[in-house]
Amino acid sequence: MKKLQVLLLIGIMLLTGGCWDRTEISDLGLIVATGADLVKEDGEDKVWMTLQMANPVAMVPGGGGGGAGAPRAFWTVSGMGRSVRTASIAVAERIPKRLFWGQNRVFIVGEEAARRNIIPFLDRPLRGHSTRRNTYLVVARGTAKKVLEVEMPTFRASGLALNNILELEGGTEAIMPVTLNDFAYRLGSKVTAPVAPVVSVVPQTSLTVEDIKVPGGPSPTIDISGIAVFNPEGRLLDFLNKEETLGLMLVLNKSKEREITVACPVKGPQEPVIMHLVRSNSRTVVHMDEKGIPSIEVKIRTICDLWEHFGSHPGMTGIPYVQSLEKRVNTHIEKEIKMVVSRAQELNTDIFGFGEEVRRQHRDEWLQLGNHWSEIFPGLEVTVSAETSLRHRGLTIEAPGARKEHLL
Amino acid sequence: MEPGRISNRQLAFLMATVLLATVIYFMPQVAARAVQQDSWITALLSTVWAILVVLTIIALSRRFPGLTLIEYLPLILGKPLGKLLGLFYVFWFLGVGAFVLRQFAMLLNIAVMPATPVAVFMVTMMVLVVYALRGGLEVWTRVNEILLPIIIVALLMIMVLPYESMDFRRLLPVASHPAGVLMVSSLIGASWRGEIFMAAMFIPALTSSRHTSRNLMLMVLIVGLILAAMEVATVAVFGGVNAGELELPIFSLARMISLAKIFDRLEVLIVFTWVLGNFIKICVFMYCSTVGAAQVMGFKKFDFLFFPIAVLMVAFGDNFLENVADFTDFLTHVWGAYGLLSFELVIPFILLLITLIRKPEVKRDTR
Repeated sequence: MKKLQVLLLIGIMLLTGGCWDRTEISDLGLIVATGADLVKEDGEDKVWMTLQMANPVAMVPGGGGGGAGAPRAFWTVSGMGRSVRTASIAVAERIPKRLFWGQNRVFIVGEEAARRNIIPFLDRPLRGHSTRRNTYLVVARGTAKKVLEVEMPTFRASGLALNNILELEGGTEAIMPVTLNDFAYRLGSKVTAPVAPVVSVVPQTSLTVEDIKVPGGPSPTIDISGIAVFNPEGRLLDFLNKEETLGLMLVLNKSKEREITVACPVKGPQEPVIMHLVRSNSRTVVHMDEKGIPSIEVKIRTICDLWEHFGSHPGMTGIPYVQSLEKRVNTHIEKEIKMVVSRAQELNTDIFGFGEEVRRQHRDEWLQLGNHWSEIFPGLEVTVSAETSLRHRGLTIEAPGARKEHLL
Repeated sequence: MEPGRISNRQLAFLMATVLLATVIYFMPQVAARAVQQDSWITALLSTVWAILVVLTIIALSRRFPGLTLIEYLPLILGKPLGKLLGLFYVFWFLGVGAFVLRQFAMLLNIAVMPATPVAVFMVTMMVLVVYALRGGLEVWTRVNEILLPIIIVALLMIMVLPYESMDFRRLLPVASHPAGVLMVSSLIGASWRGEIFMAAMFIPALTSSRHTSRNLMLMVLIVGLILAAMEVATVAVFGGVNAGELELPIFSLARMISLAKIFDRLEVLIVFTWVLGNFIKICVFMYCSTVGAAQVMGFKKFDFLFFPIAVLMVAFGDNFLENVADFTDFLTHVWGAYGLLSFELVIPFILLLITLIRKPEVKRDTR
């Protein structure tokens, strides 16, 4: 009996010791970024999926590396189908690996697909249990395929580069990362218009050693700038430029770090002073007048440091310059926000979530206002009040040689 | 009948695991679909119902010390009717236990191992449960004392760690739904919380009856707070509308965790709570149906029923509610009536009323 038990135990140990469903990492097609486009084929709309995959074999130090014929670290494949899923599984017939979605960081939607309606493209990435809701969503100017096919000399996979820009520099200047979850939230709200950052392919501005060797000239690179504005039904309406994006980010509290260029208190605009935003905090207050017409007040408090005075005249000493600069920053911020507000009102899309703020702050009135929000929003009165405090001016006081006094 | 003895704390812990193990599956989805950002309020309101359940059950148990629910049913209603209702209760334990088992298997299927047949999860879980039950009541309640803290820590981590994706303004406006709607949707949540009435099967096994009702009410309250915090976290991350669109909101919540690129993919925490919590929960349902069945039939022992009832439970689990849409439909439209409004609160309450009016002769347990 004892012997039988021991034998049984050994048998179980043999069966359970391994990993039944194991997959070698080199057998996986590790998808790092996906792009979805809408194309016409034989008069029928088709989804064109582009998958950027990592090749783990080439990433082993010493295994890959330079030299012609060495395996590439990343490659791009695309397939076509009636839906996102059918188009992405279509590539399986052409690659010797199993598709693995767990590492997908960026989902790019082409302009044409976004203009038609983005919602069908988002179902699969949100439903699938190997993709994540905190994947970044990006809209491509032109096609997503083109973006993923960019070969960057310094950073071989454009999808990964995109991820790094959004992750490391999100909140810097006009880079506003949006995840699938954020986007889905805005779609679900039915009033707040969804937005997503825009990526475009631009020529490289500085050449690397590898580029000089290539006869075709500088290779293209990717650039994130601006915001794609959708309507609440999920159709792409237009793109915001950099200044408008900066304004939007201030209202949405997404600005973490940016520069604000104002005129020098002494010499005016030809000697710009660069203020560095350290912190900003915005609050949206909804006022109701007696007739039940809402108006919005955006209150912004920012803290800035003086980072650069691009000039040769003194003027940074003394207390008056502080107040003068603060006032200039306030005006700049107010102008910036007014600009993006009037642009959004022109497009009639509530990208700021003002409607939701009305609902939060005046729920009873919202029951009536909610149904007519698209009629109210274009005429909504929006006031901005900015309050800036200048904190410090770095390690020097004036530009070198700016002081006029002679040495004694 | 039950030779084992457990302490008051052990019973409270046991019930806490029972309540926590399954509410975190579909409950947030059902609640958020009904009342969006106010789902956390229904979680708190459910507590009121569950406290009523505890009070009823304790009042009944006080009148019939040393007897389980199934044993005092014939004393209240007379033998034929009492036995019949007892049988219904046994089928309730069996049916809901099978439901829990199937749900557990299905969730592992949806979330972690899509290619494995549900029967594999159900049979392996049942083997484990029968093994634990054969060890005796004292053994698996003590196991639960180890498992419950793990479950609670995992749940706390799930609701705190996705803080980067949270926006608490998504919870506003608070209580924008009419009180009636909130009350009705709280009934569904209360049906889960009302499962605490199963304590009536364990009270005779307690070493002392001091603080039993206080402990159980405290557990109901704590579970209510944990669940409300869960709902708050879910709504803050996904928004009220989208939380109702998620099949498993808490699982999706765990998937949102991404801390400093190191703490990533922590959905394994959820699998912890599922496997550990459901193990104990199915133990409780199995125990109740076996002991209940033995008491209805008048058997002196119940150990020999483990195997047939385990087989029945797997068979039930495998055959009813085939897909996930059936599940959510059942939970939204049937569960409230099947749980709280009949077996958990209303029937015990009527029994209590009958005892108060008729004052049946209490037979002292002499064993």
